Amino acid sequence: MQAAFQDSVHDSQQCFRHILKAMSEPGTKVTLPSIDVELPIANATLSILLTLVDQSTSLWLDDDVRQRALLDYLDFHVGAVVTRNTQDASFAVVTDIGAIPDLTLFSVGTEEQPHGNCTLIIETSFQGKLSRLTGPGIENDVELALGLPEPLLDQRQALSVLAPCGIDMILVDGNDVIALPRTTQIEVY
Amino acid sequence: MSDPDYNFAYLDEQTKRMIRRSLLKAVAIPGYQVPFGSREMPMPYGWGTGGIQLTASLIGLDDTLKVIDQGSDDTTNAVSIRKFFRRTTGVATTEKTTEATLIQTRHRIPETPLQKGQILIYQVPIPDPLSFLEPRETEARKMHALSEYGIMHTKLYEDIAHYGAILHTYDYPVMVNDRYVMRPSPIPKFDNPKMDNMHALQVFGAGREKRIYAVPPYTKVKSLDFEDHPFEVQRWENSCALCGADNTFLDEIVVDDHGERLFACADSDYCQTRQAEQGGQR
Ligand SMILES: [Zn+2]
Repeated sequence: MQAAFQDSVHDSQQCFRHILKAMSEPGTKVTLPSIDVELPIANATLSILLTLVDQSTSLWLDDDVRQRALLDYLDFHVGAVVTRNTQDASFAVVTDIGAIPDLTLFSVGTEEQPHGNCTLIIETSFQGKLSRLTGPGIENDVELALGLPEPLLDQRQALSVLAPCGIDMILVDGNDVIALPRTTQIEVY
Repeated sequence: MSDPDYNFAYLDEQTKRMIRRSLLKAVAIPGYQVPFGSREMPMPYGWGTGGIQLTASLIGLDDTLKVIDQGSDDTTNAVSIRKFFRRTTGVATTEKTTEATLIQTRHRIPETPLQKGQILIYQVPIPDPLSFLEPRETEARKMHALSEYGIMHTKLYEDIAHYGAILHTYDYPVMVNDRYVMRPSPIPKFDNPKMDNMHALQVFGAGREKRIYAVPPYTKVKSLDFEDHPFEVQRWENSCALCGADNTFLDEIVVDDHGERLFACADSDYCQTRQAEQGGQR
């Protein structure tokens, strides 16, 4: 079995603080420490799973990565309950952004329990059209390339009427992470 | 060095993960109370076990921790929490607001404006602003779900009708991001304006009531008020007798055996820093 964090206590603490910073300051890019493994998911995706997921959370993986080596690794190091049902997932990993399921297939939480939503970890490359982000955690506004296809942005926008329910996204490009909590408004140029 | 008999920061890793997940949700839904599986801590509930569990889930070797109680670093509560984290983590502690990465607080916000990257961790005794008005938790949850806060406005307006003013001088309710009414914990309402658009992340932990909530940086926090009765903070006729500040929250303190009193900043670090600066200028 390939290794995980070298020092699980301190490495997961560090990763958490980076993820928390990303979630608190949407549009701020944070870089997670590298892990030396050969798996079909990005380094930061793996770090996020090692930091946040365990046997009390259900995890959905897209077809691209639902492979023996990764499942065995996650079973050993994370103990996640892997589900094939998007609606059950508390975390979901999307590595093939072109084949991302419709966002409405994931849980958005309920009016009384809006925290029951799914957090989507989406692998992309931070390139392409610039987006302008506003909302809590952002001083005035921030402009950057997210690399998200327009239909996905439209679906996300459509969910905003359900606030405070919604989907939180953690975007991953290699070791880099940008978070988009449900409260962030995105305007594409 | 930390004591090897403890897990780092006392909590086990699974508990930290659970709290960390709840904290991310709290940040994503500003002002909403996320339930969490609060753990027993080696101190009684009144000692800020909610804030302590948050700090334990946040803290790392690179952090510098400040702990305040009513603005002071020297009270029993602050000293024992600081000792607890020094023993279980070995991390650096400070009394300087500007040097701290994490500030755990009971009942005050430091006078020195907080910076981006800092995290303010509040100890919360009672998290739900509706609990005195609607004791049934299921009903209170519905009101939060629908953002139905008429009951709260009615109560505040009754205060004005009977007493000429809103009675809360501590734990004065606020509206977060135009969506959730939130208790800021028993800080004086003097501190409420500091919560609005703060550069630092604010997180709140209630141990006994098992709730975590948060306000991200640069988020609107508005104290509830009425057009004909706008929100106002306490003002003092005196300035601080020690540093001369005329814009801080003052405590009245007895200075000698004859009952002589004076007013001084409740925030001891702020006051001492100002005194040192003035000493240096002379
Ligand atoms: Zn003073």
